[in-house]
Amino acid sequence: MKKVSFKRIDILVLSILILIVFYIFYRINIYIDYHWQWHRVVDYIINKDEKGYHFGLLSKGLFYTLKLSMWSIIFSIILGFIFGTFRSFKRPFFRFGSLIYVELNRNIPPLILIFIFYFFISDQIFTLFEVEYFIRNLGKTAREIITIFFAPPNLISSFFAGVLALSVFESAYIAEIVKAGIESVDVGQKEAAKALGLSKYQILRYVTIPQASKVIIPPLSNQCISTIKDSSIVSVIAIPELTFQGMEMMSATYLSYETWITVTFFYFILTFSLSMLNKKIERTYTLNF
Amino acid sequence: MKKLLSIIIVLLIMFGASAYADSVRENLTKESTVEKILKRGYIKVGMSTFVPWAMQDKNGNLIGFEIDVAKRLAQDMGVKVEFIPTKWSGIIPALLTGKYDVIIGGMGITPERNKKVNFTIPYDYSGMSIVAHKKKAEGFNKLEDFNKNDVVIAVRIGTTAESAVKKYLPNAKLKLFDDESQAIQELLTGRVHAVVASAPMPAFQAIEHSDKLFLPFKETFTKEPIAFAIRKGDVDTLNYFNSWITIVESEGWLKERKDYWFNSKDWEKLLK
Repeated sequence: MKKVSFKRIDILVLSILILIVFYIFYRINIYIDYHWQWHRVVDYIINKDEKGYHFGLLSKGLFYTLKLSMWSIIFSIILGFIFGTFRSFKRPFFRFGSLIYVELNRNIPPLILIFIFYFFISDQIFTLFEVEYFIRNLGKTAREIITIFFAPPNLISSFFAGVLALSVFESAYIAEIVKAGIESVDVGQKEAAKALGLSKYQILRYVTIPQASKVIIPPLSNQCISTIKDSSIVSVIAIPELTFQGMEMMSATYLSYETWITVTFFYFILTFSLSMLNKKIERTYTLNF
Repeated sequence: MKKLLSIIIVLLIMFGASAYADSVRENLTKESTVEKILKRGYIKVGMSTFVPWAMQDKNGNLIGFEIDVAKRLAQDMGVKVEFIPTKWSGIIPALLTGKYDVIIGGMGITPERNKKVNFTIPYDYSGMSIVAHKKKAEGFNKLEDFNKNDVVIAVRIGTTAESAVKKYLPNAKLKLFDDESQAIQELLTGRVHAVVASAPMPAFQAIEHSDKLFLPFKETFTKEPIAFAIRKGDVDTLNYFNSWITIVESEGWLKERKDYWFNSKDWEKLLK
Protein backbone atom coordinates (compact mmCIF):
# COMPACT_ATOMS: atom_id res chain seq x y z
CA MET A 1 0.00 0.00 0.00
CA LYS A 2 1.23 3.50 -0.83
CA LYS A 3 1.97 5.79 2.07
CA VAL A 4 -0.56 8.58 2.38
CA SER A 5 0.83 12.01 3.06
CA PHE A 6 -1.20 14.89 4.39
CA LYS A 7 -1.26 17.95 2.20
CA ARG A 8 -2.13 21.41 3.39
CA ILE A 9 -5.56 21.20 1.78
CA ASP A 10 -6.36 18.00 3.69
CA ILE A 11 -5.55 19.65 6.99
CA LEU A 12 -7.69 22.63 6.06
CA VAL A 13 -10.70 20.50 5.12
CA LEU A 14 -10.34 18.41 8.27
CA SER A 15 -10.18 21.41 10.56
CA ILE A 16 -13.22 22.96 8.88
CA LEU A 17 -15.14 19.72 9.45
CA ILE A 18 -14.14 19.62 13.12
CA LEU A 19 -15.17 23.25 13.48
CA ILE A 20 -18.59 22.50 12.00
CA VAL A 21 -19.15 19.65 14.47
CA PHE A 22 -18.16 21.89 17.37
CA TYR A 23 -20.37 24.65 16.09
CA ILE A 24 -23.39 22.31 15.99
CA PHE A 25 -22.79 21.25 19.59
CA TYR A 26 -22.26 24.85 20.56
CA ARG A 27 -25.59 25.80 19.01
CA ILE A 28 -27.36 22.95 20.79
CA ASN A 29 -25.86 24.00 24.11
CA ILE A 30 -26.17 27.76 23.90
CA TYR A 31 -29.00 28.53 21.53
CA ILE A 32 -31.36 25.68 22.30
CA ASP A 33 -30.04 25.49 25.85
CA TYR A 34 -30.30 21.74 25.90
CA HIS A 35 -29.78 19.86 29.17
CA TRP A 36 -27.65 16.87 28.36
CA GLN A 37 -28.54 13.89 30.52
CA TRP A 38 -26.22 11.20 29.25
CA HIS A 39 -26.27 9.31 32.54
CA ARG A 40 -29.91 8.40 31.91
CA VAL A 41 -29.04 6.80 28.58
CA VAL A 42 -26.71 4.25 30.22
CA ASP A 43 -29.66 2.61 31.99
CA TYR A 44 -31.37 2.12 28.65
CA ILE A 45 -28.37 0.18 27.39
CA ILE A 46 -27.55 -1.87 30.47
CA ASN A 47 -28.76 -1.56 34.03
CA LYS A 48 -28.46 -3.31 37.35
CA ASP A 49 -30.87 -4.15 40.12
CA GLU A 50 -30.83 -6.60 43.02
CA LYS A 51 -31.31 -9.49 40.60
CA GLY A 52 -28.26 -8.63 38.53
CA TYR A 53 -27.61 -6.97 35.20
CA HIS A 54 -30.31 -6.46 32.57
CA PHE A 55 -30.15 -5.40 28.99
CA GLY A 56 -31.95 -2.13 28.51
CA LEU A 57 -34.51 -1.07 25.93
CA LEU A 58 -31.93 0.00 23.35
CA SER A 59 -29.80 -3.16 23.61
CA LYS A 60 -32.91 -5.25 23.09
CA GLY A 61 -33.66 -3.16 20.02
CA LEU A 62 -30.14 -3.79 18.76
CA PHE A 63 -30.66 -7.57 19.04
CA TYR A 64 -33.89 -7.30 17.08
CA THR A 65 -32.18 -5.31 14.36
CA LEU A 66 -29.49 -8.01 14.22
CA LYS A 67 -32.02 -10.85 13.93
CA LEU A 68 -34.12 -8.96 11.44
CA SER A 69 -31.16 -8.08 9.22
CA MET A 70 -29.66 -11.55 9.46
CA TRP A 71 -32.81 -13.30 8.21
CA SER A 72 -33.45 -10.64 5.60
CA ILE A 73 -29.89 -10.95 4.28
CA ILE A 74 -30.15 -14.75 4.09
CA PHE A 75 -33.52 -14.76 2.33
CA SER A 76 -32.67 -11.89 0.01
CA ILE A 77 -29.46 -13.61 -1.10
CA ILE A 78 -31.35 -16.84 -1.83
CA LEU A 79 -34.11 -15.01 -3.71
CA GLY A 80 -31.61 -12.74 -5.43
CA PHE A 81 -29.53 -15.67 -6.72
CA ILE A 82 -32.61 -17.49 -7.97
CA PHE A 83 -33.99 -14.52 -9.88
CA GLY A 84 -30.56 -13.35 -10.98
CA THR A 85 -29.72 -16.70 -12.60
CA PHE A 86 -33.22 -16.90 -14.10
CA ARG A 87 -32.44 -13.74 -16.00
CA SER A 88 -29.55 -15.40 -17.78
CA PHE A 89 -31.77 -18.28 -18.98
CA LYS A 90 -32.96 -18.34 -22.56
CA ARG A 91 -36.53 -19.45 -21.79
CA PRO A 92 -38.80 -16.38 -21.85
CA PHE A 93 -40.78 -17.70 -18.88
CA PHE A 94 -37.78 -17.44 -16.57
CA ARG A 95 -36.37 -14.31 -18.18
CA PHE A 96 -39.55 -12.27 -18.14
CA GLY A 97 -40.75 -13.69 -14.85
CA SER A 98 -37.66 -12.50 -13.09
CA LEU A 99 -37.66 -9.23 -15.02
CA ILE A 100 -41.17 -8.51 -13.74
CA TYR A 101 -40.17 -9.48 -10.20
CA VAL A 102 -37.12 -7.23 -10.20
CA GLU A 103 -38.78 -4.22 -11.80
CA LEU A 104 -41.85 -4.47 -9.62
CA ASN A 105 -39.91 -4.59 -6.38
CA ARG A 106 -37.27 -2.10 -7.41
CA ASN A 107 -39.85 0.50 -8.32
CA ILE A 108 -42.03 0.33 -5.23
CA PRO A 109 -40.96 2.34 -2.17
CA PRO A 110 -39.88 -0.10 0.57
CA LEU A 111 -42.26 1.54 3.04
CA ILE A 112 -45.23 0.70 0.82
CA LEU A 113 -43.97 -2.89 0.45
CA ILE A 114 -43.88 -3.19 4.22
CA PHE A 115 -47.45 -1.97 4.58
CA ILE A 116 -48.58 -4.36 1.85
CA PHE A 117 -46.92 -7.29 3.61
CA TYR A 118 -48.14 -6.24 7.04
CA PHE A 119 -51.74 -5.44 6.28
CA PHE A 120 -52.53 -7.79 3.41
CA ILE A 121 -50.16 -10.66 2.99
CA SER A 122 -49.27 -11.45 6.60
CA ASP A 123 -52.90 -11.04 7.56
CA GLN A 124 -54.25 -13.32 4.86
CA ILE A 125 -51.55 -15.94 4.67
CA PHE A 126 -50.72 -16.25 8.34
CA THR A 127 -54.36 -16.38 9.34
CA LEU A 128 -55.05 -18.94 6.65
CA PHE A 129 -52.31 -21.26 7.83
CA GLU A 130 -52.84 -20.35 11.49
CA VAL A 131 -49.12 -19.73 11.94
CA GLU A 132 -49.55 -17.94 15.23
CA TYR A 133 -51.81 -20.61 16.64
CA PHE A 134 -49.38 -23.30 15.52
CA ILE A 135 -46.42 -21.61 17.20
CA ARG A 136 -48.28 -21.07 20.45
CA ASN A 137 -49.17 -24.74 20.67
CA LEU A 138 -45.59 -25.88 20.26
CA GLY A 139 -43.67 -27.17 23.26
CA LYS A 140 -41.96 -24.77 25.63
CA THR A 141 -38.43 -25.33 24.28
CA ALA A 142 -39.55 -24.98 20.67
CA ARG A 143 -41.30 -21.73 21.57
CA GLU A 144 -38.19 -20.47 23.30
CA ILE A 145 -36.00 -21.31 20.33
CA ILE A 146 -38.39 -19.43 18.04
CA THR A 147 -38.35 -16.48 20.44
CA ILE A 148 -34.55 -16.40 20.45
CA PHE A 149 -34.05 -16.76 16.72
CA PHE A 150 -37.14 -14.93 15.50
CA ALA A 151 -39.59 -13.20 17.82
CA PRO A 152 -42.01 -14.03 20.63
CA PRO A 153 -45.37 -15.43 19.40
CA ASN A 154 -47.24 -12.15 19.78
CA LEU A 155 -44.81 -10.41 17.42
CA ILE A 156 -44.17 -13.27 15.05
CA SER A 157 -46.53 -12.18 12.27
CA SER A 158 -45.23 -8.63 12.16
CA PHE A 159 -41.67 -9.94 12.39
CA PHE A 160 -42.17 -12.21 9.38
CA ALA A 161 -43.96 -9.47 7.50
CA GLY A 162 -40.93 -7.24 8.09
CA VAL A 163 -38.41 -9.92 7.12
CA LEU A 164 -40.36 -10.83 3.98
CA ALA A 165 -40.79 -7.24 2.85
CA LEU A 166 -37.12 -6.48 3.40
CA SER A 167 -35.98 -9.70 1.69
CA VAL A 168 -38.16 -9.12 -1.34
CA PHE A 169 -37.04 -5.52 -1.62
CA GLU A 170 -33.32 -6.26 -1.24
CA SER A 171 -33.45 -9.37 -3.41
CA ALA A 172 -34.46 -7.27 -6.42
CA TYR A 173 -31.15 -5.43 -6.16
CA ILE A 174 -29.21 -8.62 -5.50
CA ALA A 175 -30.79 -10.20 -8.59
CA GLU A 176 -29.42 -7.31 -10.65
CA ILE A 177 -25.98 -7.76 -9.09
CA VAL A 178 -26.02 -11.50 -9.81
CA LYS A 179 -27.21 -10.94 -13.36
CA ALA A 180 -24.43 -8.43 -14.00
CA GLY A 181 -21.92 -10.91 -12.54
CA ILE A 182 -23.10 -13.72 -14.81
CA GLU A 183 -23.05 -11.44 -17.84
CA SER A 184 -19.50 -10.40 -17.03
CA VAL A 185 -18.24 -13.91 -17.73
CA ASP A 186 -16.86 -14.11 -21.24
CA VAL A 187 -19.05 -15.98 -23.75
CA GLY A 188 -15.97 -17.88 -24.91
CA GLN A 189 -15.74 -19.52 -21.49
CA LYS A 190 -19.22 -20.95 -21.79
CA GLU A 191 -18.65 -22.04 -25.36
CA ALA A 192 -15.41 -23.77 -24.40
CA ALA A 193 -17.22 -25.56 -21.55
CA LYS A 194 -19.96 -26.62 -23.95
CA ALA A 195 -17.36 -27.91 -26.38
CA LEU A 196 -15.89 -30.00 -23.56
CA GLY A 197 -19.29 -31.62 -23.17
CA LEU A 198 -20.34 -30.09 -19.84
CA SER A 199 -24.07 -30.01 -19.09
CA LYS A 200 -25.99 -26.75 -18.57
CA TYR A 201 -25.93 -27.20 -14.82
CA GLN A 202 -22.22 -28.04 -14.82
CA ILE A 203 -21.42 -24.92 -16.82
CA LEU A 204 -23.29 -22.80 -14.33
CA ARG A 205 -21.76 -24.53 -11.34
CA TYR A 206 -18.11 -24.90 -12.43
CA VAL A 207 -17.54 -22.18 -14.99
CA THR A 208 -19.93 -19.27 -14.69
CA ILE A 209 -20.54 -18.92 -10.96
CA PRO A 210 -16.90 -19.16 -9.78
CA GLN A 211 -15.90 -16.43 -12.21
CA ALA A 212 -19.01 -14.35 -11.63
CA SER A 213 -18.64 -14.36 -7.85
CA LYS A 214 -15.52 -12.23 -8.09
CA VAL A 215 -17.68 -9.53 -9.63
CA ILE A 216 -20.68 -10.26 -7.41
CA ILE A 217 -19.14 -10.22 -3.94
CA PRO A 218 -18.13 -6.55 -3.48
CA PRO A 219 -21.55 -5.07 -4.43
CA LEU A 220 -23.27 -7.92 -2.59
CA SER A 221 -21.57 -7.05 0.68
CA ASN A 222 -22.56 -3.46 0.07
CA GLN A 223 -26.16 -4.61 -0.24
CA CYS A 224 -25.91 -6.45 3.09
CA ILE A 225 -24.87 -3.25 4.83
CA SER A 226 -27.77 -1.53 3.10
CA THR A 227 -30.14 -4.15 4.49
CA ILE A 228 -29.13 -3.31 8.05
CA LYS A 229 -29.76 0.34 7.40
CA ASP A 230 -33.03 -0.30 5.57
CA SER A 231 -34.26 -2.49 8.43
CA SER A 232 -35.01 0.72 10.34
CA ILE A 233 -38.12 1.29 8.21
CA VAL A 234 -39.91 -1.71 9.72
CA SER A 235 -40.29 0.44 12.84
CA VAL A 236 -43.55 1.62 11.22
CA ILE A 237 -45.15 -1.76 11.89
CA ALA A 238 -44.01 -1.64 15.52
CA ILE A 239 -41.35 -4.35 15.44
CA PRO A 240 -39.27 -3.44 18.50
CA GLU A 241 -36.02 -2.95 16.59
CA LEU A 242 -33.46 -0.23 17.23
CA THR A 243 -35.27 2.68 15.59
CA PHE A 244 -38.63 1.80 17.12
CA GLN A 245 -37.06 1.42 20.56
CA GLY A 246 -35.32 4.74 20.06
CA MET A 247 -38.70 6.36 19.39
CA GLU A 248 -40.19 4.62 22.42
CA MET A 249 -37.34 5.80 24.58
CA MET A 250 -37.70 9.33 23.30
CA SER A 251 -41.46 9.29 24.00
CA ALA A 252 -40.90 8.12 27.55
CA THR A 253 -37.91 10.24 28.49
CA TYR A 254 -37.97 13.22 26.10
CA LEU A 255 -34.21 12.86 25.66
CA SER A 256 -34.27 13.49 21.90
CA TYR A 257 -30.62 14.23 21.17
CA GLU A 258 -29.11 11.62 23.47
CA THR A 259 -31.41 8.93 22.11
CA TRP A 260 -30.67 9.54 18.46
CA ILE A 261 -26.93 9.99 18.94
CA THR A 262 -26.85 6.64 20.75
CA VAL A 263 -29.00 4.94 18.10
CA THR A 264 -26.76 6.35 15.35
CA PHE A 265 -23.72 5.02 17.17
CA PHE A 266 -25.30 1.55 17.48
CA TYR A 267 -26.10 1.40 13.77
CA PHE A 268 -22.60 2.57 12.98
CA ILE A 269 -21.04 -0.21 15.10
CA LEU A 270 -23.17 -2.79 13.27
CA THR A 271 -22.53 -1.61 9.74
CA PHE A 272 -18.89 -0.74 10.32
CA SER A 273 -18.01 -4.15 11.76
CA LEU A 274 -19.85 -5.79 8.86
CA SER A 275 -17.94 -3.73 6.33
CA MET A 276 -14.64 -4.69 8.02
CA LEU A 277 -15.69 -8.34 7.80
CA ASN A 278 -16.57 -7.86 4.14
CA LYS A 279 -13.13 -6.45 3.39
CA LYS A 280 -11.59 -9.57 4.86
CA ILE A 281 -13.88 -11.88 2.86
CA GLU A 282 -13.18 -10.00 -0.34
CA ARG A 283 -9.45 -10.27 0.20
CA THR A 284 -9.43 -14.02 0.88
CA TYR A 285 -11.88 -14.65 -1.93
CA THR A 286 -9.92 -12.81 -4.58
CA LEU A 287 -6.73 -14.60 -3.48
CA ASN A 288 -8.30 -17.98 -4.08
CA PHE A 289 -8.83 -17.33 -7.75
CA MET B 1 -107.04 -28.31 0.85
CA LYS B 2 -105.35 -25.23 -0.59
CA LYS B 3 -105.94 -23.38 2.64
CA LEU B 4 -104.38 -26.14 4.70
CA LEU B 5 -101.36 -26.22 2.44
CA SER B 6 -100.78 -22.49 2.72
CA ILE B 7 -101.10 -22.67 6.52
CA ILE B 8 -98.52 -25.42 6.62
CA ILE B 9 -96.17 -23.40 4.41
CA VAL B 10 -96.54 -20.29 6.58
CA LEU B 11 -95.91 -22.35 9.71
CA LEU B 12 -92.87 -23.93 8.15
CA ILE B 13 -91.45 -20.55 7.17
CA MET B 14 -92.04 -19.18 10.68
CA PHE B 15 -90.44 -22.17 12.27
CA GLY B 16 -87.52 -21.99 9.90
CA ALA B 17 -87.06 -18.29 10.47
CA SER B 18 -87.05 -18.63 14.25
CA ALA B 19 -84.62 -21.52 14.02
CA TYR B 20 -82.48 -19.37 11.75
CA ALA B 21 -82.60 -16.48 14.23
CA ASP B 22 -81.56 -18.85 16.99
CA SER B 23 -78.61 -20.09 15.01
CA VAL B 24 -77.60 -16.52 14.16
CA ARG B 25 -77.59 -15.65 17.84
CA GLU B 26 -75.66 -18.77 18.66
CA ASN B 27 -73.10 -18.00 16.00
CA LEU B 28 -72.80 -14.40 17.14
CA THR B 29 -71.98 -15.54 20.65
CA LYS B 30 -69.65 -18.22 19.43
CA GLU B 31 -67.80 -15.82 17.21
CA SER B 32 -67.67 -12.92 19.64
CA THR B 33 -64.22 -11.65 20.55
CA VAL B 34 -64.75 -12.49 24.22
CA GLU B 35 -65.40 -16.13 23.39
CA LYS B 36 -62.32 -16.23 21.18
CA ILE B 37 -60.18 -14.67 23.91
CA LEU B 38 -61.39 -17.19 26.50
CA LYS B 39 -60.82 -20.04 24.10
CA ARG B 40 -57.28 -19.13 23.16
CA GLY B 41 -56.30 -18.06 26.66
CA TYR B 42 -54.86 -14.63 26.01
CA ILE B 43 -56.10 -11.19 25.08
CA LYS B 44 -54.29 -9.05 22.54
CA VAL B 45 -54.30 -5.38 23.41
CA GLY B 46 -53.32 -2.63 20.99
CA MET B 47 -51.73 0.46 22.50
CA SER B 48 -49.41 3.34 21.74
CA THR B 49 -46.98 5.24 23.93
CA PHE B 50 -48.48 8.18 25.81
CA VAL B 51 -46.88 9.30 29.06
CA PRO B 52 -48.22 8.33 31.62
CA TRP B 53 -50.92 6.17 30.01
CA ALA B 54 -48.54 3.68 28.49
CA MET B 55 -44.79 3.70 28.10
CA GLN B 56 -41.78 1.40 28.25
CA ASP B 57 -39.44 1.52 31.19
CA LYS B 58 -35.69 1.23 30.75
CA ASN B 59 -35.86 -2.56 30.49
CA GLY B 60 -38.54 -2.48 27.87
CA ASN B 61 -41.37 -3.47 30.24
CA LEU B 62 -44.64 -1.72 29.61
CA ILE B 63 -45.95 0.45 32.43
CA GLY B 64 -48.71 3.03 32.80
CA PHE B 65 -52.35 3.55 33.61
CA GLU B 66 -53.65 1.76 30.51
CA ILE B 67 -51.29 -1.12 31.11
CA ASP B 68 -52.68 -1.54 34.63
CA VAL B 69 -56.23 -1.45 33.27
CA ALA B 70 -55.50 -4.06 30.60
CA LYS B 71 -53.67 -6.32 33.05
CA ARG B 72 -56.54 -6.19 35.52
CA LEU B 73 -59.03 -6.89 32.74
CA ALA B 74 -57.06 -9.95 31.65
CA GLN B 75 -56.75 -11.13 35.24
CA ASP B 76 -60.51 -10.82 35.75
CA MET B 77 -61.14 -12.71 32.53
CA GLY B 78 -58.72 -15.40 33.66
CA VAL B 79 -56.48 -15.05 30.63
CA LYS B 80 -52.99 -13.79 29.86
CA VAL B 81 -52.40 -10.38 28.36
CA GLU B 82 -50.31 -9.51 25.35
CA PHE B 83 -49.56 -5.95 24.32
CA ILE B 84 -49.04 -4.95 20.72
CA PRO B 85 -47.39 -1.53 20.58
CA THR B 86 -48.55 0.29 17.47
CA LYS B 87 -48.02 3.68 15.92
CA TRP B 88 -50.91 5.91 16.90
CA SER B 89 -51.72 6.87 13.31
CA GLY B 90 -52.29 3.22 12.37
CA ILE B 91 -53.99 2.02 15.53
CA ILE B 92 -57.56 1.81 14.16
CA PRO B 93 -56.67 0.12 10.83
CA ALA B 94 -54.66 -2.49 12.73
CA LEU B 95 -57.66 -3.21 14.99
CA LEU B 96 -59.91 -3.59 11.97
CA THR B 97 -57.52 -6.02 10.27
CA GLY B 98 -57.46 -8.13 13.43
CA LYS B 99 -53.97 -7.49 14.79
CA TYR B 100 -55.48 -7.29 18.27
CA ASP B 101 -58.81 -7.70 20.05
CA VAL B 102 -59.20 -4.30 21.66
CA ILE B 103 -57.57 -0.89 21.83
CA ILE B 104 -56.88 0.13 25.41
CA GLY B 105 -54.80 3.14 24.64
CA GLY B 106 -56.37 6.25 26.09
CA MET B 107 -58.57 6.62 23.05
CA GLY B 108 -61.08 9.44 23.31
CA ILE B 109 -64.55 8.82 21.93
CA THR B 110 -65.20 10.92 18.83
CA PRO B 111 -68.06 10.66 16.32
CA GLU B 112 -65.48 10.33 13.55
CA ARG B 113 -63.75 7.33 15.15
CA ASN B 114 -67.11 5.85 16.08
CA LYS B 115 -67.88 5.42 12.39
CA LYS B 116 -65.14 2.80 12.21
CA VAL B 117 -65.16 1.19 15.66
CA ASN B 118 -67.47 0.59 18.60
CA PHE B 119 -66.68 2.19 21.93
CA THR B 120 -67.40 0.90 25.41
CA ILE B 121 -68.68 3.18 28.14
CA PRO B 122 -65.94 5.56 29.30
CA TYR B 123 -63.60 4.32 32.01
CA ASP B 124 -61.73 7.57 32.30
CA TYR B 125 -62.06 11.25 31.44
CA SER B 126 -59.27 13.30 30.09
CA GLY B 127 -58.94 16.86 28.96
CA MET B 128 -56.72 19.00 26.81
CA SER B 129 -54.23 21.21 28.50
CA ILE B 130 -51.68 23.62 27.11
CA VAL B 131 -48.02 24.23 27.88
CA ALA B 132 -46.34 27.31 26.42
CA HIS B 133 -42.90 28.76 25.85
CA LYS B 134 -42.00 31.44 28.43
CA LYS B 135 -40.46 33.90 25.99
CA LYS B 136 -42.56 33.29 22.88
CA ALA B 137 -45.91 33.26 24.67
CA GLU B 138 -45.14 35.87 27.26
CA GLY B 139 -48.22 37.21 29.02
CA PHE B 140 -50.56 34.61 27.52
CA ASN B 141 -52.89 33.47 30.28
CA LYS B 142 -56.12 32.38 28.67
CA LEU B 143 -57.15 30.25 25.73
CA GLU B 144 -58.12 33.22 23.51
CA ASP B 145 -54.54 34.52 23.67
CA PHE B 146 -53.46 31.58 21.58
CA ASN B 147 -56.15 32.07 18.96
CA LYS B 148 -54.11 34.37 16.72
CA ASN B 149 -52.74 34.11 13.21
CA ASP B 150 -49.12 34.36 14.25
CA VAL B 151 -49.34 31.67 16.94
CA VAL B 152 -47.97 28.21 16.08
CA ILE B 153 -49.08 25.18 18.09
CA ALA B 154 -47.53 21.72 17.98
CA VAL B 155 -49.62 18.58 18.53
CA ARG B 156 -49.36 14.87 17.98
CA ILE B 157 -50.91 13.79 14.68
CA GLY B 158 -54.29 12.05 14.74
CA THR B 159 -54.98 12.75 18.39
CA THR B 160 -57.96 14.54 19.89
CA ALA B 161 -55.49 17.34 20.64
CA GLU B 162 -55.40 17.99 16.91
CA SER B 163 -59.17 18.30 16.65
CA ALA B 164 -59.35 20.34 19.87
CA VAL B 165 -56.92 22.91 18.47
CA LYS B 166 -58.88 23.08 15.20
CA LYS B 167 -62.07 23.66 17.12
CA TYR B 168 -60.99 26.00 19.91
CA LEU B 169 -58.07 27.78 18.26
CA PRO B 170 -59.09 27.98 14.60
CA ASN B 171 -56.81 30.94 13.87
CA ALA B 172 -53.62 29.39 15.21
CA LYS B 173 -51.27 27.53 12.90
CA LEU B 174 -50.85 23.79 13.50
CA LYS B 175 -47.64 21.81 13.38
CA LEU B 176 -48.14 18.04 13.44
CA PHE B 177 -45.73 15.50 14.90
CA ASP B 178 -45.66 11.73 15.13
CA ASP B 179 -44.72 11.71 18.81
CA GLU B 180 -45.36 13.99 21.71
CA SER B 181 -41.66 14.15 22.52
CA GLN B 182 -40.99 15.67 19.10
CA ALA B 183 -43.65 18.31 19.74
CA ILE B 184 -42.11 19.11 23.13
CA GLN B 185 -38.65 19.34 21.57
CA GLU B 186 -40.02 21.80 19.05
CA LEU B 187 -41.44 23.86 21.91
CA LEU B 188 -38.18 23.77 23.86
CA THR B 189 -36.26 25.09 20.87
CA GLY B 190 -38.81 27.89 20.69
CA ARG B 191 -40.06 27.24 17.19
CA VAL B 192 -43.68 26.97 18.36
CA HIS B 193 -45.62 28.93 20.96
CA ALA B 194 -47.29 26.03 22.71
CA VAL B 195 -48.03 22.32 22.76
CA VAL B 196 -51.55 21.02 23.28
CA ALA B 197 -51.89 17.52 24.74
CA SER B 198 -53.97 15.49 27.16
CA ALA B 199 -53.41 16.42 30.80
CA PRO B 200 -51.22 15.82 32.80
CA MET B 201 -48.36 15.70 30.29
CA PRO B 202 -48.23 19.50 29.75
CA ALA B 203 -48.09 20.09 33.50
CA PHE B 204 -45.30 17.53 33.89
CA GLN B 205 -43.32 19.24 31.15
CA ALA B 206 -43.81 22.66 32.71
CA ILE B 207 -42.32 21.35 35.98
CA GLU B 208 -39.49 19.51 34.22
CA HIS B 209 -38.43 22.54 32.18
CA SER B 210 -39.56 25.26 34.55
CA ASP B 211 -36.87 27.62 33.21
CA LYS B 212 -38.36 27.65 29.71
CA LEU B 213 -41.97 26.45 29.82
CA PHE B 214 -45.04 27.46 31.80
CA LEU B 215 -48.71 26.63 32.13
CA PRO B 216 -50.79 29.58 30.92
CA PHE B 217 -53.78 28.29 32.91
CA LYS B 218 -54.21 25.31 35.19
CA GLU B 219 -57.51 23.78 34.12
CA THR B 220 -58.13 21.69 31.02
CA PHE B 221 -60.21 23.25 28.26
CA THR B 222 -61.99 20.11 27.03
CA LYS B 223 -63.47 17.07 28.69
CA GLU B 224 -63.11 13.84 26.78
CA PRO B 225 -64.47 10.42 27.58
CA ILE B 226 -61.87 7.66 27.19
CA ALA B 227 -63.03 4.17 26.24
CA PHE B 228 -61.96 0.81 24.85
CA ALA B 229 -62.39 0.46 21.11
CA ILE B 230 -63.44 -2.84 19.53
CA ARG B 231 -64.48 -3.98 16.06
CA LYS B 232 -68.03 -3.09 15.09
CA GLY B 233 -71.07 -5.24 15.64
CA ASP B 234 -69.78 -7.35 18.51
CA VAL B 235 -72.52 -6.89 21.10
CA ASP B 236 -71.35 -9.69 23.36
CA THR B 237 -67.86 -8.24 23.77
CA LEU B 238 -69.17 -4.73 24.15
CA ASN B 239 -71.47 -5.84 26.96
CA TYR B 240 -68.68 -7.76 28.69
CA PHE B 241 -66.30 -4.80 28.69
CA ASN B 242 -69.04 -2.38 29.75
CA SER B 243 -69.92 -4.54 32.73
CA TRP B 244 -66.27 -4.89 33.65
CA ILE B 245 -65.79 -1.12 33.57
CA THR B 246 -68.88 -0.63 35.75
CA ILE B 247 -67.51 -3.08 38.30
CA VAL B 248 -63.99 -1.66 38.62
CA GLU B 249 -65.41 1.83 38.59
CA SER B 250 -67.68 1.16 41.55
CA GLU B 251 -64.87 -0.61 43.36
CA GLY B 252 -62.91 2.61 43.24
CA TRP B 253 -60.02 0.75 41.66
CA LEU B 254 -59.93 2.96 38.56
CA LYS B 255 -59.69 6.11 40.63
CA GLU B 256 -56.94 4.66 42.78
CA ARG B 257 -54.84 3.69 39.72
CA LYS B 258 -55.49 7.05 38.13
CA ASP B 259 -54.28 8.87 41.24
CA TYR B 260 -51.11 6.83 41.19
CA TRP B 261 -50.27 7.59 37.56
CA PHE B 262 -51.62 11.10 37.23
CA ASN B 263 -51.34 12.79 40.61
CA SER B 264 -48.15 11.24 41.91
CA LYS B 265 -44.78 10.87 40.28
CA ASP B 266 -43.71 7.76 42.20
CA TRP B 267 -43.43 5.87 38.94
CA GLU B 268 -40.81 8.22 37.53
CA LYS B 269 -38.01 6.24 39.16
CA LEU B 270 -38.84 3.41 36.75
CA LEU B 271 -37.72 5.61 33.91
CA LYS B 272 -34.59 7.02 35.54
